[in-house]
This record gives sequence, C-alpha cells and structure tokens, in this order.
Amino acid sequence: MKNKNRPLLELSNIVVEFNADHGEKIHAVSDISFAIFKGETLGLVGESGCGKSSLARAVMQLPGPASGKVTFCSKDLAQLSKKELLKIRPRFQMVFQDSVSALNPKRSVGKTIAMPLKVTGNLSKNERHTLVEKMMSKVGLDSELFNNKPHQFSGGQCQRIQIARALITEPELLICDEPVSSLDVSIQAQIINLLETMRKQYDLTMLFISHDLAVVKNISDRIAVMYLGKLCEIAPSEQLYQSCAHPYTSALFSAIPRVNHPQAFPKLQRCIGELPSPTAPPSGCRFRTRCPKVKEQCVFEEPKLYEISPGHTVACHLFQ
Amino acid sequence: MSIPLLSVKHLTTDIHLEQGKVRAVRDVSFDLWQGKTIGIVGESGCGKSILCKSILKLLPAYAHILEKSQIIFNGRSINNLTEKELNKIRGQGAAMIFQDPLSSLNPVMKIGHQVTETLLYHLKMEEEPALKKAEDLLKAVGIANPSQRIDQYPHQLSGGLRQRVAIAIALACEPKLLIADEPTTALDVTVQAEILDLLDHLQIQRNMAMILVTHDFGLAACRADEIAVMYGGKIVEYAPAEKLLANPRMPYTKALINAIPRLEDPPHTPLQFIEGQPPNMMIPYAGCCFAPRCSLAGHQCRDQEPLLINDDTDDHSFACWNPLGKIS
Repeated sequence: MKNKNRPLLELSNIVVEFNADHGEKIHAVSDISFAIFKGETLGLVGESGCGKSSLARAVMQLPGPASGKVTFCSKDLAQLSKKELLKIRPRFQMVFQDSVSALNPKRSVGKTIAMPLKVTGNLSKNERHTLVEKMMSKVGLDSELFNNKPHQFSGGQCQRIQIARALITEPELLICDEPVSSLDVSIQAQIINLLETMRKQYDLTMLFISHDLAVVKNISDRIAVMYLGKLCEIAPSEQLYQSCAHPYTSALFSAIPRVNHPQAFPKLQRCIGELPSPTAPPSGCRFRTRCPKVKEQCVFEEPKLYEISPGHTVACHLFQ
Repeated sequence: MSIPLLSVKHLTTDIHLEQGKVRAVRDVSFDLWQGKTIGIVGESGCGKSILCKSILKLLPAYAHILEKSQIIFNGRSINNLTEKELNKIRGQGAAMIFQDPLSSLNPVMKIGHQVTETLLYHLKMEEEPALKKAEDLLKAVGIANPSQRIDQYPHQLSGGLRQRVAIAIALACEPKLLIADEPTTALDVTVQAEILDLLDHLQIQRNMAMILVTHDFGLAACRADEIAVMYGGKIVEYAPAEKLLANPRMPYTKALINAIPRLEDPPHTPLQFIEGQPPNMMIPYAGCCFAPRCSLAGHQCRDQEPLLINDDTDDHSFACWNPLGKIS
C-alpha cells in the first residue's frame, strides 16, 4: 500500500438526519468520523437500517451530510459550488446495490456507461464510444452488446455495467454499496474478483459496504462496524476477525452460518431482539438494549472510542 | 424406522409459459422423517421454490405436475385429493413459510385476524379463544408484547417481526411438516440466527419435520440433517449434511461450496467461481445439465444423463459420471 499515511477521504463528525412523520427525526448517521487512506479498501458492515447507505450517500453529496465535514483530496466537499463539485465528481464514483433501479431501463448500456464522460468531460462521441467499448471488455461484457437495454442482462451483468459506468472516468475513490448482496454465490465471487482486479488496475481506494462479514473480510484491508448510526469498532480485517472487541461485532461474527464450522454457533454471544427505531435511539450506548454484557453505565453514558491496540478502536465501556 | 412422514417420488413439474414449456422440477425423489430437517440448496432458478409449492400443490394454473409424480404425506397419497381435502392437509398437516413476509401477509388485515384466520378455518375455534390462542402463538415465536401487536398492521412491524408472525401463522395448527422457503433471506444475520433457533426449538418440542430451502450453503450446513443440492431442476447430490460437506462427490456441489468467501482466509484471497451460465431450462439437454460448466466433463457427460445413484454408502447419492474423490 502506497502513501498509507495520506488520507484520500476524511469524514469528521458526519450527521445524517431525515424528517419522519409527526415532526420526528430519523437519526440515520450520528457523529461518525474515520479516514480512508490512499490505496486501501475500507469495509463497512452493519445490519440493515444502521445507516451504511446514508453515510455513503453523504460522502457522494447525494445529498451531503446535515453536519460534519467530508474532505476528499484535501477539499471540503460541502464548500464547493455546484460547478466545482461536478468537476471533482469524476474522481469519486459509486456502485449501487440495486442495479434494476440504478440503471435507466430505456437507455442502452453503452450510453449508460458513457454518461459520466458526457456529463463531466469534453470528449467527442467517437472518443467516448471507443472508451466505453474498452471498458466493457475490461469488466467482462461483450462490447457487441453496446446497444442492448438493461433488461436483457442478468443481475451479475447489470452489476458489471454499473462497475463500468463508475470506472469510466478513472476515479480515485470507488464507493460500493452492497454490490453483491442480491447475487448468487458463484456470481458474487465473480464480481468480487472483478472489483479486486479493477482495484489493482486503476489503483483504486474503496469504501465497500455490505452486511456480509465474510464478503467484507475478503475484500477489505480494514473494517468499520456500524450500529444504529454509530461507529462501534474499526480495525484491520484480520485483527477484527482474530480478536474483535465490541459485543456487537462478536454477535455479528457468531451469527454467521458457516459451511466449515457447522457447530460454531456460540449462543452466549448472540444479541437479543431487533434493531431499535432510529427515530428514538436508546440513551447512552445505542447497542445496550441488545447487548449481552450491558451494565448500568451503558444506560447513562455514551462510550467514547478507545484505541485498544494500534489501529484498533472500539466504542464500548468495557474497554475504558 | 416406520414410514417417512413425507415421501416424494419422481416429482416432475412443468411450467407453461408463452415462450414454451419449462421443466422446472425434474424427477425429484426424497423421504423425510418426523423430527428431521432436509435442506434444499441451490442457486436462484434451480427449481427449489417450485418444488416446495408442488408438494403442497400451491402452484399457479399454468404449472402442471406430471402424472408419474407421487407425493405421499403421512402414509396417504395426495395426488388425487380434491381441493377440500388438500386444504385439510395444508395448515394442519403441512404449513409453509415464504421468503418475503411482506407479501405473504395481508397488508390491510390486523395481525390478530391473520393469525386467528387459520384457527377459525381449520380448528373451527370460536373468535374469543382464537384471539387468546393467537396471543400465545405470537408469544411463543418471541414477540414481546402480543396483546398490542394483534391490533397492528404488517407495515407497523419490522422485517424480523413480520417473519415471526408468518411463522406463528404457519405453526398455528401444529403442523407435522413445515416447509420454509428461504425463511430468513430478507433478514439480518443476528435476526436470522434468532428465528432459526426458534424454529429449532419448536421442531424439537413438536417433533416437526422441516424442509429448509436456502441458497446459503452455510445455513443448510448448520441447520439441516440432510442436504439435497439442486441444479437445473434436479437433485444432483443428496447426503447427510456433514458427509456432503466433508466429501462432496458432484463437482457442482464442490464448486458451490468453494465460491463462498471464508472468514478464516486472509483479505484479498481470490475467490473460486463457476464458469458459464446456469442451464436454460427451456432447452432440453441430453447429458448432465452441469456438463457445459464442469471441468471434469467428458463425452459421456454430454451425451448421457447421469442418474442419482449411491456409490459406496447407502446414504450418499449423487448424479455424476466422474464423481470426485472416493473415500478409500
């Protein structure tokens, strides 16, 4: 990993909120800070509704966060004008979870892949066409399918189209929001391998979001675990697997059904019940309502992030 | 052991589409004993769901179960039963949980009514005791405040709670067989673990048999006694779970297991995948349906269909001309 110490993307105190019915507020992301260094892949895991996608959208300025700072390549994205933002957009792109809604059904895939170039660049139609054909073959799509529409492709191929569209501007940062969650394992493996090849080829820095810890561990150098809008734990992938600290992370690991360890279901570490509503998150530690190791302090006091070993931080009173 | 609770023999289901006929389930046979779980594993489109619906005859009108198919439930063939007799089996004898609880629950009906519906219909209970029983059922599936929940509508519940309601409905008449078609696919792993623990518990308590359909090999490995792997509408390998995982004989089974990312592998380990596409079920084929994607395929594989046979053990069967490693 080159330039390991230079963050490409820095998030500080990101807050994302949505208005719900009856004047309530959904606290989707609450005060999250972390950095992604150049050349690394950071995995972001957590259950559905924990704010992973909201965080990704905040980074993409789709729209930006309610408060907090997104710094990309030393630029505060919120301070940029619309024009300036459009100029920098080719350098950070995103692959969305649901390719059916992320691709325009009426637009040919060739045009879809060329769209970012058309919006942000000043290449001629022919130049764009050549680049798209090259990109299609790089992601494993037959360039003869240039004029086909998304419905003529399978789920795995649609994800390839999305990857091609995201990479056509040769970005430095690629955000992948659950890119493989609706695919069969064999197709999932192909797409993950493709992302790894592309990462090496384009020297990409990635934020990879998934609810599947095994997938995240396979692709990431570091993993951040989110729970109900908060960051619980962040550590190098192997370290998180070997010695995860937060009770929620252990609960996640122990809940994974594994082919080679069918008996490994340590029930004691399980968390109980379901995610509380993000409109009224619990006081103190947000995980306390489901935590098997909850104590009195957790009700009143929000845990800070403690560094328990170099690069491994955890937000839990047990590590005070 | 006496007779199996469910015996499926040569089950074959055709689906008639505008473009032509699809043979979605091809000659599937298996036995399921009381208290046991069979896991049916396969990729999307392999015929898992149609198989389940065929067993309970819950198929749409354009699907057709072939004559030679036999489904024997509790010692009785259900082939020629009338709709009325079938309805007696559905619910009381065998119940089903579907993948998506949002679409299997009625959005404009209160939770309480949806649970009591089966009690009123099948058990001919009175409204009041039925409501009481509904509360008990919701409590049994781990819903904390059932008396409030019965007055709510499905959209007011989270995905996990909805699936619990669907389970409560399925279990209302204490079925002998539960068919769970991807019951936890829409749920998070932590909730999935809880729901499956609950099913385990209820299964032991009631000696219920279960068909667990899933695309997740890990899930089947953890929860099923026996696993049947489906590909192209057929069972291509069938064995006790630990045997199948320790020693897969059919190359497809092994490829499917190998494609799963493993937690113990270091980051950036390249994943193995299966080349090519799943078979187009509209086009009939002569040989093994996996042959076009199989690295071990020879002439015989392409020309002649392998049957599901046992090799050296009675309980491990596979359909393959070039099976992987024999145990010596």
